Amino acid sequence: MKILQVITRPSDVIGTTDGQSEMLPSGESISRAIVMGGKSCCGAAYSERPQIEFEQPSFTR
Amino acid sequence: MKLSYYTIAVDVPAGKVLYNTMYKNIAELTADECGWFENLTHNAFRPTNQAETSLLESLANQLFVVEDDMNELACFQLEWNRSLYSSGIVRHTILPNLSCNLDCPYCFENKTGKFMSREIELLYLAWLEKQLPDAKYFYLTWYGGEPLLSKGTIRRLTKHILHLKEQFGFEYAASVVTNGTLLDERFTEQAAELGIKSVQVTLDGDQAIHDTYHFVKGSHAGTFNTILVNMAKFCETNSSDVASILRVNVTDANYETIPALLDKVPTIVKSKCVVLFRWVYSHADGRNPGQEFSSKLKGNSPFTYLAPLYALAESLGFCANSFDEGRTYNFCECDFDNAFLIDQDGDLFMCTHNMSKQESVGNVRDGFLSQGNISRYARFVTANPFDDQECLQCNILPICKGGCRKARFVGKKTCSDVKFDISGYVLQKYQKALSASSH
Repeated sequence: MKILQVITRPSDVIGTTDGQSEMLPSGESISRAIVMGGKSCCGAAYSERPQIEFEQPSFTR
Repeated sequence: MKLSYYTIAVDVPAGKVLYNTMYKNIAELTADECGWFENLTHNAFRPTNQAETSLLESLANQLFVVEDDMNELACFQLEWNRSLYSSGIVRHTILPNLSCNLDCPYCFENKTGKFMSREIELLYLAWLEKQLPDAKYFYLTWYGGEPLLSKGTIRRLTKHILHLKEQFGFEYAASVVTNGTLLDERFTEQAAELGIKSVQVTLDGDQAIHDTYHFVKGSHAGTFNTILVNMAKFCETNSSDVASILRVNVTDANYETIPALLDKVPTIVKSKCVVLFRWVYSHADGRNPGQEFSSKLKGNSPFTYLAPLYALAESLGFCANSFDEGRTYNFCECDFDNAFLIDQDGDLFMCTHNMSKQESVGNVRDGFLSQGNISRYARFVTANPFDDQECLQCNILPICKGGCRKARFVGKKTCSDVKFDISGYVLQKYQKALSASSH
Protein backbone atom coordinates (compact mmCIF):
# COMPACT_ATOMS: atom_id res chain seq x y z
CA MET A 1 0.00 0.00 0.00
CA LYS A 2 1.46 3.32 -1.06
CA ILE A 3 0.66 6.00 1.49
CA LEU A 4 0.21 9.34 -0.23
CA GLN A 5 -1.19 11.58 2.49
CA VAL A 6 -1.37 11.26 6.28
CA ILE A 7 -3.41 13.95 7.98
CA THR A 8 -4.66 11.90 10.93
CA ARG A 9 -2.91 9.13 12.83
CA PRO A 10 -4.76 6.70 15.16
CA SER A 11 -3.47 8.64 18.17
CA ASP A 12 -4.80 11.93 16.76
CA VAL A 13 -8.44 11.09 16.09
CA ILE A 14 -9.62 13.55 18.71
CA GLY A 15 -8.10 16.39 20.62
CA THR A 16 -5.24 17.51 18.43
CA THR A 17 -6.88 20.09 16.19
CA ASP A 18 -4.45 22.95 16.48
CA GLY A 19 -5.33 24.91 13.35
CA GLN A 20 -1.92 24.21 11.89
CA SER A 21 -2.54 21.07 9.87
CA GLU A 22 -2.54 22.60 6.41
CA MET A 23 0.38 24.76 5.41
CA LEU A 24 1.71 26.49 2.34
CA PRO A 25 5.14 25.17 1.28
CA SER A 26 6.59 28.44 2.58
CA GLY A 27 5.16 27.78 6.05
CA GLU A 28 2.04 29.94 6.30
CA SER A 29 -0.96 28.18 7.80
CA ILE A 30 -4.00 27.64 5.61
CA SER A 31 -5.95 26.12 8.50
CA ARG A 32 -5.40 29.23 10.58
CA ALA A 33 -6.62 31.41 7.72
CA ILE A 34 -9.78 29.30 7.68
CA VAL A 35 -10.46 29.41 11.40
CA MET A 36 -9.61 33.12 11.56
CA GLY A 37 -12.48 33.78 9.18
CA GLY A 38 -11.30 33.26 5.60
CA LYS A 39 -14.27 34.14 3.46
CA SER A 40 -14.81 30.94 1.52
CA CYS A 41 -18.52 31.63 1.30
CA CYS A 42 -19.21 35.26 0.35
CA GLY A 43 -22.50 34.20 -1.17
CA ALA A 44 -21.26 30.93 -2.64
CA ALA A 45 -23.19 28.62 -0.35
CA TYR A 46 -26.59 30.06 0.48
CA SER A 47 -28.25 29.74 -2.88
CA GLU A 48 -30.71 27.74 -4.92
CA ARG A 49 -29.28 25.35 -7.50
CA PRO A 50 -30.44 24.68 -11.07
CA GLN A 51 -30.55 21.13 -12.46
CA ILE A 52 -28.49 20.90 -15.66
CA GLU A 53 -26.52 17.94 -17.05
CA PHE A 54 -23.05 18.30 -18.64
CA GLU A 55 -19.75 16.53 -19.23
CA GLN A 56 -16.51 17.23 -17.36
CA PRO A 57 -13.85 19.15 -19.26
CA SER A 58 -10.11 18.79 -18.97
CA PHE A 59 -7.29 21.25 -19.44
CA THR A 60 -4.25 19.99 -21.32
CA ARG A 61 -1.10 22.01 -21.07
CA MET B 1 -11.86 -4.57 12.72
CA LYS B 2 -14.26 -2.86 10.30
CA LEU B 3 -14.03 -0.58 7.33
CA SER B 4 -14.23 3.06 8.38
CA TYR B 5 -17.65 4.39 7.41
CA TYR B 6 -15.82 7.31 5.78
CA THR B 7 -13.40 5.32 3.62
CA ILE B 8 -14.14 5.70 -0.08
CA ALA B 9 -12.45 3.50 -2.71
CA VAL B 10 -12.20 4.73 -6.30
CA ASP B 11 -10.71 2.77 -9.19
CA VAL B 12 -7.55 4.19 -10.77
CA PRO B 13 -5.21 2.70 -13.40
CA ALA B 14 -2.78 1.50 -10.68
CA GLY B 15 -5.55 -0.27 -8.76
CA LYS B 16 -7.61 1.69 -6.24
CA VAL B 17 -7.22 4.90 -4.33
CA LEU B 18 -8.50 4.96 -0.76
CA TYR B 19 -9.62 8.30 0.65
CA ASN B 20 -11.10 8.84 4.06
CA THR B 21 -13.38 11.85 4.33
CA MET B 22 -12.97 12.07 8.12
CA TYR B 23 -9.27 11.49 8.58
CA LYS B 24 -8.28 12.85 5.12
CA ASN B 25 -5.68 10.11 4.64
CA ILE B 26 -4.98 8.90 1.09
CA ALA B 27 -3.37 5.66 -0.10
CA GLU B 28 -3.03 3.74 -3.33
CA LEU B 29 -3.55 -0.01 -3.65
CA THR B 30 -1.89 -2.09 -6.35
CA ALA B 31 -3.91 -4.64 -8.30
CA ASP B 32 -2.72 -7.43 -5.95
CA GLU B 33 -3.59 -5.37 -2.91
CA CYS B 34 -7.04 -4.70 -4.35
CA GLY B 35 -7.64 -8.45 -4.33
CA TRP B 36 -6.50 -8.78 -0.71
CA PHE B 37 -8.60 -5.75 0.20
CA GLU B 38 -11.68 -7.37 -1.36
CA ASN B 39 -10.99 -10.61 0.56
CA LEU B 40 -10.63 -8.70 3.82
CA THR B 41 -13.87 -6.84 3.17
CA HIS B 42 -15.73 -10.09 2.50
CA ASN B 43 -14.23 -11.85 5.55
CA ALA B 44 -15.07 -9.16 8.12
CA PHE B 45 -11.41 -8.09 8.15
CA ARG B 46 -10.15 -11.44 9.37
CA PRO B 47 -7.00 -12.07 7.28
CA THR B 48 -6.41 -15.51 5.80
CA ASN B 49 -2.75 -15.13 4.86
CA GLN B 50 0.34 -13.08 5.63
CA ALA B 51 -0.25 -10.63 2.76
CA GLU B 52 -3.72 -9.81 4.06
CA THR B 53 -2.40 -9.50 7.62
CA SER B 54 0.22 -7.04 6.49
CA LEU B 55 -2.27 -5.03 4.44
CA LEU B 56 -4.75 -4.93 7.32
CA GLU B 57 -2.07 -3.54 9.60
CA SER B 58 -1.32 -0.78 7.10
CA LEU B 59 -5.02 -0.04 6.62
CA ALA B 60 -5.50 0.25 10.38
CA ASN B 61 -2.45 2.47 10.82
CA GLN B 62 -3.93 4.89 8.27
CA LEU B 63 -7.46 4.62 9.74
CA PHE B 64 -9.05 3.23 6.59
CA VAL B 65 -10.01 0.37 8.91
CA VAL B 66 -10.96 0.96 12.54
CA GLU B 67 -11.64 -1.15 15.58
CA ASP B 68 -15.07 -2.74 15.93
CA ASP B 69 -16.07 -0.59 18.88
CA MET B 70 -14.93 2.68 17.32
CA ASN B 71 -17.81 5.20 17.12
CA GLU B 72 -16.53 7.53 14.43
CA LEU B 73 -19.61 9.71 14.36
CA ALA B 74 -19.33 10.39 18.09
CA CYS B 75 -15.68 11.39 17.65
CA PHE B 76 -16.55 13.70 14.77
CA GLN B 77 -19.42 15.22 16.73
CA LEU B 78 -17.11 15.90 19.67
CA GLU B 79 -14.55 17.73 17.52
CA TRP B 80 -17.29 19.57 15.62
CA ASN B 81 -18.73 20.84 18.90
CA ARG B 82 -15.30 21.78 20.21
CA SER B 83 -14.75 23.87 17.09
CA LEU B 84 -18.18 25.48 17.28
CA TYR B 85 -18.01 26.39 20.95
CA SER B 86 -14.24 26.90 21.06
CA SER B 87 -14.20 28.75 24.37
CA GLY B 88 -11.84 31.64 24.65
CA ILE B 89 -12.06 32.64 20.98
CA VAL B 90 -13.88 35.80 19.92
CA ARG B 91 -14.40 36.27 16.18
CA HIS B 92 -15.71 39.48 14.71
CA THR B 93 -16.21 40.58 11.13
CA ILE B 94 -16.51 44.34 10.86
CA LEU B 95 -18.09 46.20 7.97
CA PRO B 96 -16.68 49.71 8.44
CA ASN B 97 -18.80 50.69 5.46
CA LEU B 98 -21.35 49.32 3.06
CA SER B 99 -19.89 51.20 0.14
CA CYS B 100 -17.52 50.29 -2.68
CA ASN B 101 -15.35 51.95 -5.30
CA LEU B 102 -16.12 49.11 -7.72
CA ASP B 103 -19.40 48.06 -9.30
CA CYS B 104 -19.17 44.29 -9.86
CA PRO B 105 -22.35 43.04 -11.56
CA TYR B 106 -22.58 39.88 -9.45
CA CYS B 107 -22.23 41.57 -6.04
CA PHE B 108 -24.71 40.09 -3.57
CA GLU B 109 -24.72 43.07 -1.22
CA ASN B 110 -27.20 45.93 -1.19
CA LYS B 111 -24.78 48.86 -0.94
CA THR B 112 -26.15 51.76 1.09
CA GLY B 113 -23.03 53.92 0.81
CA LYS B 114 -22.98 54.35 4.58
CA PHE B 115 -19.83 54.47 6.73
CA MET B 116 -19.27 53.69 10.41
CA SER B 117 -19.36 56.84 12.53
CA ARG B 118 -16.97 57.71 15.37
CA GLU B 119 -19.86 57.19 17.78
CA ILE B 120 -20.40 53.63 16.54
CA GLU B 121 -16.66 52.95 16.70
CA LEU B 122 -16.68 53.85 20.41
CA LEU B 123 -19.83 51.86 21.07
CA TYR B 124 -18.27 48.87 19.31
CA LEU B 125 -15.14 49.09 21.45
CA ALA B 126 -17.19 49.25 24.64
CA TRP B 127 -19.23 46.22 23.52
CA LEU B 128 -16.06 44.36 22.52
CA GLU B 129 -14.31 45.05 25.81
CA LYS B 130 -16.99 43.17 27.74
CA GLN B 131 -16.19 40.01 25.75
CA LEU B 132 -12.44 40.06 26.22
CA PRO B 133 -11.58 39.34 29.87
CA ASP B 134 -11.76 35.58 29.28
CA ALA B 135 -10.58 35.59 25.66
CA LYS B 136 -7.42 33.81 24.61
CA TYR B 137 -7.75 34.78 20.96
CA PHE B 138 -9.47 37.63 19.16
CA TYR B 139 -9.76 37.14 15.39
CA LEU B 140 -11.01 40.13 13.41
CA THR B 141 -11.85 40.32 9.73
CA TRP B 142 -12.19 43.68 8.00
CA TYR B 143 -14.95 43.26 5.44
CA GLY B 144 -17.36 45.47 3.60
CA GLY B 145 -18.38 47.00 1.32
CA GLU B 146 -14.77 47.79 0.68
CA PRO B 147 -12.98 48.01 4.04
CA LEU B 148 -10.02 49.96 2.67
CA LEU B 149 -12.32 52.90 2.01
CA SER B 150 -12.30 53.14 5.82
CA LYS B 151 -8.60 53.07 6.65
CA GLY B 152 -9.14 55.68 9.38
CA THR B 153 -11.65 53.43 11.14
CA ILE B 154 -9.30 50.47 10.80
CA ARG B 155 -6.41 52.43 12.33
CA ARG B 156 -8.47 53.92 15.16
CA LEU B 157 -10.14 50.66 16.15
CA THR B 158 -6.90 48.70 15.89
CA LYS B 159 -5.07 51.17 18.11
CA HIS B 160 -7.66 50.66 20.85
CA ILE B 161 -7.80 46.88 20.32
CA LEU B 162 -4.04 46.69 20.79
CA HIS B 163 -4.45 48.52 24.12
CA LEU B 164 -7.08 45.94 25.09
CA LYS B 165 -4.67 43.21 24.03
CA GLU B 166 -2.09 44.58 26.48
CA GLN B 167 -4.72 44.83 29.19
CA PHE B 168 -6.24 41.35 28.81
CA GLY B 169 -3.40 39.38 27.22
CA PHE B 170 -5.24 37.73 24.34
CA GLU B 171 -3.63 36.92 21.00
CA TYR B 172 -4.84 39.20 18.22
CA ALA B 173 -4.86 38.49 14.50
CA ALA B 174 -6.70 40.32 11.75
CA SER B 175 -7.43 39.69 8.10
CA VAL B 176 -8.81 41.89 5.34
CA VAL B 177 -11.20 40.88 2.59
CA THR B 178 -10.66 43.57 -0.02
CA ASN B 179 -11.04 44.16 -3.72
CA GLY B 180 -7.32 44.99 -3.62
CA THR B 181 -7.43 48.27 -5.50
CA LEU B 182 -6.84 50.38 -2.39
CA LEU B 183 -4.21 48.08 -0.89
CA ASP B 184 -1.61 50.75 -1.45
CA GLU B 185 2.03 50.83 -0.41
CA ARG B 186 1.45 52.88 2.74
CA PHE B 187 -1.27 50.56 4.03
CA THR B 188 0.75 47.49 3.10
CA GLU B 189 3.69 48.79 5.10
CA GLN B 190 1.43 49.41 8.11
CA ALA B 191 -0.27 46.01 7.92
CA ALA B 192 1.96 44.29 10.47
CA GLU B 193 1.49 46.99 13.10
CA LEU B 194 -2.26 46.81 12.45
CA GLY B 195 -2.13 43.10 13.29
CA ILE B 196 -3.12 42.16 9.73
CA LYS B 197 -1.76 38.72 8.95
CA SER B 198 -3.79 37.79 5.90
CA VAL B 199 -5.40 39.47 2.91
CA GLN B 200 -8.02 38.01 0.62
CA VAL B 201 -8.53 39.32 -2.91
CA THR B 202 -10.61 38.01 -5.78
CA LEU B 203 -9.88 37.73 -9.47
CA ASP B 204 -12.47 36.96 -12.13
CA GLY B 205 -10.60 35.32 -15.01
CA ASP B 206 -7.98 36.75 -17.33
CA GLN B 207 -7.56 40.49 -17.62
CA ALA B 208 -10.05 41.05 -20.44
CA ILE B 209 -12.98 39.42 -18.69
CA HIS B 210 -11.91 40.30 -15.14
CA ASP B 211 -12.05 43.97 -16.09
CA THR B 212 -15.63 43.56 -17.33
CA TYR B 213 -16.64 42.21 -13.89
CA HIS B 214 -14.32 44.03 -11.51
CA PHE B 215 -14.36 47.63 -12.72
CA VAL B 216 -14.24 51.03 -11.05
CA LYS B 217 -17.60 52.58 -10.43
CA GLY B 218 -18.21 55.50 -12.81
CA SER B 219 -15.06 55.29 -14.94
CA HIS B 220 -15.38 51.55 -15.65
CA ALA B 221 -11.56 51.37 -15.46
CA GLY B 222 -10.16 47.85 -15.17
CA THR B 223 -8.58 46.61 -11.94
CA PHE B 224 -6.71 43.41 -12.90
CA ASN B 225 -3.20 44.83 -12.97
CA THR B 226 -3.70 47.01 -9.90
CA ILE B 227 -4.88 44.06 -7.81
CA LEU B 228 -1.95 41.87 -8.82
CA VAL B 229 0.63 44.62 -8.28
CA ASN B 230 -0.80 45.52 -4.88
CA MET B 231 -1.07 41.91 -3.79
CA ALA B 232 2.50 41.20 -4.88
CA LYS B 233 3.68 44.18 -2.83
CA PHE B 234 1.74 42.99 0.20
CA CYS B 235 3.23 39.49 -0.09
CA GLU B 236 6.76 40.87 -0.51
CA THR B 237 6.46 43.27 2.41
CA ASN B 238 4.68 41.17 4.99
CA SER B 239 5.95 38.06 6.68
CA SER B 240 3.13 36.18 8.35
CA ASP B 241 2.37 32.76 9.76
CA VAL B 242 -1.05 32.85 8.11
CA ALA B 243 -1.71 32.23 4.42
CA SER B 244 -3.30 34.96 2.33
CA ILE B 245 -6.10 33.96 0.00
CA LEU B 246 -6.46 34.37 -3.74
CA ARG B 247 -10.06 33.66 -4.55
CA VAL B 248 -11.04 33.07 -8.15
CA ASN B 249 -14.69 33.60 -8.95
CA VAL B 250 -15.85 31.24 -11.69
CA THR B 251 -18.62 31.89 -14.20
CA ASP B 252 -19.82 30.39 -17.47
CA ALA B 253 -18.18 33.29 -19.28
CA ASN B 254 -14.76 33.34 -17.59
CA TYR B 255 -14.19 29.59 -17.13
CA GLU B 256 -12.01 29.03 -20.19
CA THR B 257 -9.87 32.09 -19.37
CA ILE B 258 -8.77 30.89 -15.93
CA PRO B 259 -5.64 29.11 -17.24
CA ALA B 260 -4.53 32.46 -18.70
CA LEU B 261 -5.24 34.15 -15.38
CA LEU B 262 -3.12 31.63 -13.46
CA ASP B 263 -0.22 32.30 -15.85
CA LYS B 264 -0.31 35.99 -14.89
CA VAL B 265 -0.13 35.59 -11.12
CA PRO B 266 3.26 36.79 -9.81
CA THR B 267 5.49 34.17 -8.22
CA ILE B 268 5.46 35.85 -4.82
CA VAL B 269 1.64 35.80 -4.76
CA LYS B 270 1.67 32.18 -5.87
CA SER B 271 3.95 31.24 -2.98
CA LYS B 272 2.18 33.20 -0.22
CA CYS B 273 -1.46 32.58 -1.11
CA VAL B 274 -3.77 29.63 -1.12
CA VAL B 275 -5.98 29.52 -4.22
CA LEU B 276 -9.69 28.95 -3.84
CA PHE B 277 -12.18 28.56 -6.71
CA ARG B 278 -15.82 29.48 -6.17
CA TRP B 279 -18.79 29.63 -8.50
CA VAL B 280 -20.67 32.92 -8.73
CA TYR B 281 -24.23 32.19 -7.67
CA SER B 282 -27.31 34.19 -8.47
CA HIS B 283 -28.88 36.07 -5.58
CA ALA B 284 -32.21 37.43 -4.57
CA ASP B 285 -30.59 40.75 -3.58
CA GLY B 286 -27.59 42.78 -4.63
CA ARG B 287 -26.46 44.37 -7.87
CA ASN B 288 -28.42 42.20 -10.32
CA PRO B 289 -31.01 40.14 -8.45
CA GLY B 290 -31.88 36.87 -10.14
CA GLN B 291 -29.21 37.06 -12.83
CA GLU B 292 -27.44 33.76 -13.47
CA PHE B 293 -23.68 33.80 -13.98
CA SER B 294 -22.72 30.14 -13.78
CA SER B 295 -25.80 27.98 -14.14
CA LYS B 296 -24.66 26.33 -17.39
CA LEU B 297 -21.34 24.93 -16.17
CA LYS B 298 -22.12 24.61 -12.49
CA GLY B 299 -25.15 22.47 -13.27
CA ASN B 300 -26.18 19.97 -10.63
CA SER B 301 -22.65 18.73 -9.97
CA PRO B 302 -20.77 21.92 -9.09
CA PHE B 303 -17.44 20.29 -8.20
CA THR B 304 -17.13 18.55 -11.58
CA TYR B 305 -16.01 21.67 -13.41
CA LEU B 306 -13.99 22.98 -10.46
CA ALA B 307 -11.86 19.82 -10.19
CA PRO B 308 -9.87 20.52 -13.40
CA LEU B 309 -9.16 24.05 -12.15
CA TYR B 310 -7.74 22.74 -8.87
CA ALA B 311 -5.67 20.17 -10.79
CA LEU B 312 -4.37 22.80 -13.17
CA ALA B 313 -3.48 25.20 -10.36
CA GLU B 314 -1.59 22.46 -8.52
CA SER B 315 0.29 21.54 -11.69
CA LEU B 316 1.36 25.16 -12.06
CA GLY B 317 2.80 25.28 -8.55
CA PHE B 318 -0.09 26.95 -6.72
CA CYS B 319 -1.26 25.65 -3.38
CA ALA B 320 -4.92 25.12 -4.21
CA ASN B 321 -7.32 24.19 -1.45
CA SER B 322 -11.08 23.90 -1.45
CA PHE B 323 -11.20 24.72 2.31
CA ASP B 324 -12.64 21.32 3.13
CA GLU B 325 -9.46 19.27 3.02
CA GLY B 326 -7.90 19.42 6.46
CA ARG B 327 -8.96 19.01 10.06
CA THR B 328 -11.05 22.10 10.46
CA TYR B 329 -14.65 21.64 11.48
CA ASN B 330 -16.30 24.90 10.41
CA PHE B 331 -18.19 25.01 7.13
CA CYS B 332 -17.65 28.74 6.79
CA GLU B 333 -16.45 31.81 8.62
CA CYS B 334 -19.75 32.11 10.52
CA ASP B 335 -19.73 28.59 11.89
CA PHE B 336 -18.72 29.49 15.43
CA ASP B 337 -20.26 30.62 18.68
CA ASN B 338 -19.19 34.16 19.61
CA ALA B 339 -18.82 35.04 15.93
CA PHE B 340 -20.60 38.23 14.95
CA LEU B 341 -20.66 40.46 11.95
CA ILE B 342 -20.94 44.12 12.93
CA ASP B 343 -22.14 46.48 10.23
CA GLN B 344 -21.46 50.18 9.82
CA ASP B 345 -24.46 51.04 12.01
CA GLY B 346 -23.26 48.77 14.80
CA ASP B 347 -25.97 46.20 14.10
CA LEU B 348 -25.08 42.58 14.80
CA PHE B 349 -25.53 39.70 12.35
CA MET B 350 -24.85 35.98 12.44
CA CYS B 351 -23.88 35.53 8.78
CA THR B 352 -22.06 37.54 6.12
CA HIS B 353 -24.52 36.60 3.40
CA ASN B 354 -27.04 39.32 3.91
CA MET B 355 -26.98 42.42 6.05
CA SER B 356 -30.69 43.16 5.69
CA LYS B 357 -31.78 44.80 8.89
CA GLN B 358 -34.49 42.20 9.52
CA GLU B 359 -31.69 39.65 9.93
CA SER B 360 -29.97 41.64 12.68
CA VAL B 361 -29.95 40.10 16.15
CA GLY B 362 -29.05 43.25 18.06
CA ASN B 363 -26.55 46.08 18.11
CA VAL B 364 -23.40 47.20 19.87
CA ARG B 365 -25.30 49.79 21.91
CA ASP B 366 -27.86 47.48 23.49
CA GLY B 367 -26.70 43.92 22.79
CA PHE B 368 -29.34 41.43 21.80
CA LEU B 369 -32.20 43.87 22.50
CA SER B 370 -34.87 41.23 22.92
CA GLN B 371 -35.49 37.68 24.02
CA GLY B 372 -36.59 36.98 20.48
CA ASN B 373 -33.13 37.92 19.18
CA ILE B 374 -31.41 35.87 21.87
CA SER B 375 -33.55 32.92 20.83
CA ARG B 376 -32.72 33.41 17.12
CA TYR B 377 -29.04 33.49 17.96
CA ALA B 378 -29.33 30.37 20.12
CA ARG B 379 -31.25 28.51 17.41
CA PHE B 380 -28.70 29.60 14.78
CA VAL B 381 -25.69 28.45 16.78
CA THR B 382 -27.28 25.19 17.89
CA ALA B 383 -28.48 24.23 14.39
CA ASN B 384 -26.55 21.08 13.56
CA PRO B 385 -26.41 18.08 11.23
CA PHE B 386 -26.64 15.54 14.05
CA ASP B 387 -30.42 15.90 14.22
CA ASP B 388 -30.68 15.14 10.50
CA GLN B 389 -30.92 11.49 9.42
CA GLU B 390 -29.68 12.23 5.90
CA CYS B 391 -26.54 13.88 7.30
CA LEU B 392 -25.96 11.13 9.85
CA GLN B 393 -25.95 8.55 7.07
CA CYS B 394 -23.82 10.61 4.68
CA ASN B 395 -20.20 9.52 4.33
CA ILE B 396 -19.07 12.99 3.28
CA LEU B 397 -20.40 14.70 6.41
CA PRO B 398 -16.78 15.39 7.55
CA ILE B 399 -16.23 17.25 4.28
CA CYS B 400 -19.38 19.37 4.31
CA LYS B 401 -19.52 19.61 8.14
CA GLY B 402 -23.25 20.10 7.96
CA GLY B 403 -23.14 22.72 5.24
CA CYS B 404 -24.39 26.28 5.33
CA ARG B 405 -25.65 27.08 8.82
CA LYS B 406 -27.95 29.82 7.58
CA ALA B 407 -29.54 27.50 5.02
CA ARG B 408 -30.17 24.89 7.72
CA PHE B 409 -31.44 27.60 10.09
CA VAL B 410 -34.05 28.82 7.59
CA GLY B 411 -35.05 25.28 6.57
CA LYS B 412 -33.33 25.24 3.18
CA LYS B 413 -30.47 22.82 3.83
CA THR B 414 -28.13 22.46 0.86
CA CYS B 415 -25.72 19.59 0.36
CA SER B 416 -22.04 20.05 -0.48
CA ASP B 417 -20.91 20.45 -4.08
CA VAL B 418 -18.81 17.35 -3.45
CA LYS B 419 -21.79 15.07 -2.83
CA PHE B 420 -22.70 15.13 -6.50
CA ASP B 421 -19.24 14.08 -7.69
CA ILE B 422 -17.49 12.23 -4.88
CA SER B 423 -15.32 10.21 -7.29
CA GLY B 424 -14.15 13.39 -8.98
CA TYR B 425 -13.36 14.90 -5.59
CA VAL B 426 -11.36 11.85 -4.47
CA LEU B 427 -9.46 11.72 -7.75
CA GLN B 428 -8.57 15.41 -7.47
CA LYS B 429 -7.22 14.90 -3.93
CA TYR B 430 -5.37 11.78 -5.15
CA GLN B 431 -3.69 13.69 -7.98
CA LYS B 432 -2.77 16.48 -5.57
CA ALA B 433 -1.26 14.00 -3.09
CA LEU B 434 0.59 12.19 -5.89
CA SER B 435 2.04 15.46 -7.05
CA ALA B 436 3.07 16.45 -3.50
CA SER B 437 4.66 13.07 -2.82
CA SER B 438 6.76 13.28 -5.99
CA HIS B 439 8.33 16.61 -4.96
